[in-house]
Amino acid sequence: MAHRISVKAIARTPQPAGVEKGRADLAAILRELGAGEVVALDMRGIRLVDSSWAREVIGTLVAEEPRGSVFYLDGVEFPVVAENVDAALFRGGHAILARTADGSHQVLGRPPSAEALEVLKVIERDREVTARSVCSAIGGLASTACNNRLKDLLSARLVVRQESNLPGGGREFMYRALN
Amino acid sequence: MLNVTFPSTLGIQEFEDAIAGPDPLGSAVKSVTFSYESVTFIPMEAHVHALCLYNQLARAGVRVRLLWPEHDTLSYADRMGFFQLLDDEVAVRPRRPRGLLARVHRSRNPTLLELTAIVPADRASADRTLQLVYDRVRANVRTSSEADHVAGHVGTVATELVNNIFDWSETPLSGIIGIQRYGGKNPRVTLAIADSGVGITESLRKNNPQGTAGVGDQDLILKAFREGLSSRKEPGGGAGLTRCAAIATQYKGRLCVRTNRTWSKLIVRAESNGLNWNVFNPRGAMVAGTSLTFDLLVDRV
Repeated sequence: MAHRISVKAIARTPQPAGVEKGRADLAAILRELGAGEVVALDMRGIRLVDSSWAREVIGTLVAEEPRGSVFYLDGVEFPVVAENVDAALFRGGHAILARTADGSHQVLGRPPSAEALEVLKVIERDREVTARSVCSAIGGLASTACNNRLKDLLSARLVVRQESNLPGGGREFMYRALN
Repeated sequence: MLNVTFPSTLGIQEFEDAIAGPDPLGSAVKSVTFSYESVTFIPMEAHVHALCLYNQLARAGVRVRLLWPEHDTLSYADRMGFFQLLDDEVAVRPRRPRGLLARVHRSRNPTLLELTAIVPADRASADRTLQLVYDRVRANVRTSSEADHVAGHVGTVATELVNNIFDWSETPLSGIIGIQRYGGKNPRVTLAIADSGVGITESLRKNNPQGTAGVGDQDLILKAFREGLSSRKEPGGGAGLTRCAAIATQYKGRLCVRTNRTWSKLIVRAESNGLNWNVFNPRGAMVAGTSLTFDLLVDRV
């Protein structure tokens, strides 16, 4: 389960804005981080963020991956929040997964290829996949192409990967949706 | 001594025309009189422009006098908070209102946000004002299911410009923000924000000499809104003004940008091209800083 951090509780306003506020909120988020966590930045109650705050907080978290953590936005209630984060991250060349309150997902910022996004759709639906299961879900997809797309999603920090031992010996990578 | 006489309708364009020749701040005069005697209508955004100029003149030691007879325009200005933000050294004849209407009625009318100071040393107060901007716009599109979306967009424009005051204006003088809904044939919500700082073009040139070298003011403003030009060294900066342009384009809105001597109006000619010039006048009177007016046509929401 992801470590959930309420942005509203950190920011104490529904409209966090500006560079200084962003730096203060980032510092507060960093204080709550453990090591190697999947972190859900809970956006419930946030109705507006500006590009400066988005860059300082979300841009920094996805660019620097502090303590090896992976971040996503959860409970995005207001489309303008997603739009402004998208604009801020796009200019910095970064991406983050965002889920709305109804559970649908989108990638904000600079997304990986359309093909990788197709694979992400499968992972978001099935929650946990292997390269083989993705290949069978997307008919006609070669294993090399599938692995490349999974690597793209992993390097964009839009999914996480775990290695598991197979019952008959050998190992396999499991790719999991962020949650 | 200079005399500036305003026409009966005093919109931004008329205000610009009236001060262009006399150039009160640029002409090193000791005294200026502005006559409102024939004025019958002043939209909120023209008040924002005027306040910046009068306060800058007073700050520069120029004696400023407003000839403003008892009239609806005086009451409206008082109601909007004009006289609360006007420098104490500016004389108003025959009588300077004491800001009573604004004090009594402030925040009671959901169709407007009274002229409000953005004090560079007080970010918390500015953030509260930005929440009011959101709430006011939301109240003005309450018949639409898109109320939060529109409020978020106008709030984004307001926030990006207020950020510029804090980050780049380099002045202790307060900025000014206001919102007014207008009815009539083309109902609109107008957001006006101004500061008395160094101006957007100067700030970009100073902080981003590489990105601005050899670019004229006209292209510089358009580039800042279309592509984003950051004054910041960090990657990913410059998204603020491009978001403003994207939002204006989405609503086919109008942006008026004033920076020092340059006054320009940007409109959407084709959605695929985003904002384009409608008016570009680089020979305006000197008014230090940046002001921006965003018109959101309500029937296009």
